[in-house]
Amino acid sequence: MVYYCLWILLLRFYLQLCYFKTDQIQETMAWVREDDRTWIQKLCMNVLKQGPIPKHIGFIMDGNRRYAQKSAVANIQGHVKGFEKLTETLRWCWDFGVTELTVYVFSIENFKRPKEEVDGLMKLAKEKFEKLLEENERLQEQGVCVQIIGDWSLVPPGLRPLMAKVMILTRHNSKAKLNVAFAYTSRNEITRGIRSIEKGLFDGDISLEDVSEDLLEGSFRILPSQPLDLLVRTSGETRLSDFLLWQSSETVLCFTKVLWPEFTIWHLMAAMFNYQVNYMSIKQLKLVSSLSDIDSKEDVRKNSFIADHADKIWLQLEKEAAVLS
Amino acid sequence: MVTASVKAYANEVLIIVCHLLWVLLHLVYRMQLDVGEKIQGTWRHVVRRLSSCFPLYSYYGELAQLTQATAKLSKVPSHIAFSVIENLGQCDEKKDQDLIDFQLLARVISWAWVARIPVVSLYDYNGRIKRSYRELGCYVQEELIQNFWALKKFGRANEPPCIKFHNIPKSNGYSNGVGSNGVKLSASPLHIVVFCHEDGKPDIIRAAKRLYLEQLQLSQADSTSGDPVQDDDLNEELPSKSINESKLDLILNKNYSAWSSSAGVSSEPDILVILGNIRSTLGFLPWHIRLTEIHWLPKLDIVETRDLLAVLQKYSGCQQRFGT
Repeated sequence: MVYYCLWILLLRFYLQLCYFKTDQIQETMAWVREDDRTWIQKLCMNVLKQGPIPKHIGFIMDGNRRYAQKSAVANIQGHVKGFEKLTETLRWCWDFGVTELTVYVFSIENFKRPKEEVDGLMKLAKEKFEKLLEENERLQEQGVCVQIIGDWSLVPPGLRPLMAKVMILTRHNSKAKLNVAFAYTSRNEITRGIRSIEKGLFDGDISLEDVSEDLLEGSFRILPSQPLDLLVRTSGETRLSDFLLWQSSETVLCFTKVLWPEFTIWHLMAAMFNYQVNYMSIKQLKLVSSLSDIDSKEDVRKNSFIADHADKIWLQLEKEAAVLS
Repeated sequence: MVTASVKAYANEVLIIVCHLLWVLLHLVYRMQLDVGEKIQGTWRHVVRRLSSCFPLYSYYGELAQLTQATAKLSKVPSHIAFSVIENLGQCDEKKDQDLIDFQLLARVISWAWVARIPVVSLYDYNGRIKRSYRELGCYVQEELIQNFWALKKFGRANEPPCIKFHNIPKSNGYSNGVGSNGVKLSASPLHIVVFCHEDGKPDIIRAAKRLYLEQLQLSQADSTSGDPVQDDDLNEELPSKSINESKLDLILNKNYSAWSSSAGVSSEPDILVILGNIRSTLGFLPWHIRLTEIHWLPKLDIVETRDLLAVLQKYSGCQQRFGT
């Protein structure tokens, strides 16, 4: 009996330690957050860090609206909460040693939502991008590079200069990378990639034999991206919803039931553990990579095409950003 | 000085402790997983043996239950995909059948017919199913005929269903309707589409190349006909002239174009069932699974009809929002 009581006391003490800090309401709405982990969280993280850690994680942040309905607040409040969670998650991931994150913020399909919600989301996005510009110094300090991927032609014109400015300012940061998928679908991305290669073909920069998986993948981004290792989707849905279809085809998928605003560091750790277990199983399968030996000459041509393509987009972005100043 | 060395020492110890804890964590998890799988397998085997004495709980009883339960569902998928993870450990033997048990796979495929799903996609990374689809076809036909007789009293069909394979290697002198000797092509055949890793990303690249060639031909045709009035007409149709998502989709769905419109099914599977314990799609057609529900079920040797039924029930209860 005494033992039993002691155990319960210990457990309570332990739980208090775990949740003491997370209970405190954080007023900061900054993009870059301070380290606020408890010692037990740090210990668990250190244990997990002994194994393979994904370099690049994708997040489908689903469940903001369901969270809003559950806690009886307006839909947009759910999205605000979701953004807060995103900044927290960024911090946790960086503490884990993850160097690249891709987050699904807004899908092209989301434009079909009611007008008020889309407008509200655009306003929220504008606020957040402005905030990001204000925090520029801290971003530079932390070495965070922010990329906004998606079909810019669908983005409201008022937002584009802001987005371009964010990208240009953080372009040379290399410690950590955050890809924000805005007005994005993976099919659209693949199609745009194919179209940009088409231009290169017609201009004679590359030949038809050069068209390959790595060339197409290279044309998706204007800064080189690491291969995706883990894809996390919250809220219990088990679809990819047109997010990183190409990149995630051989990576570990993790679907959790929790709604995005309720995502905690423990869920992230569970996802990491899941990754480690599955990483080993996938290794055992010894999937044959379809990449054949690449001729170095071809490789140079491909790389120069990708670099040229990126430069062109940077020029366009600079033009966009010039409107702002 | 002393405190610094103590600190460094403590740090070292901490790292070792963390490492040990990590090993322990994974060891316990693995053991729990393996033992759990073994126990589950044995348990299911024993229960199956015992329950086969009772007609209601025998294999055919289960099939009847599956067909009755799916009839009640509000939404049944029209296209289901199975991704098979091959057995490990026997890699030195090169026969496809040793790595994937076709008889068990055929049984799972036949459940799809029982559950009224008209199209089944099969996937394995190395293309073993695609290579040996004929053997698989025989097994499937056998299972289907058995199921047909078992379910005859439910009035499912007047004649045993026939199977049609799609996306198979053409060089085999392929004729449609495997095992159809004497059996007439029934009105609603079970379509089986076989895929491997080559039909994923490499196919997208092939489609892109085809589009480039088409574009090239188009532009050459444009330059030869230098009529300015015609040019204006062309400009109006510009969006359809350049490469777009629907064009690419059309080429990537070439396997379906011939028959899917008549059967009224989508080339995108509604459900992807991965048979095995690896949380990854392992290269399954990236273009086609944007809205596919992904589920994991136990391995081929222990999967049961009720597992599939649970997935179907989940699917019918799930409300798809299409981004809105």
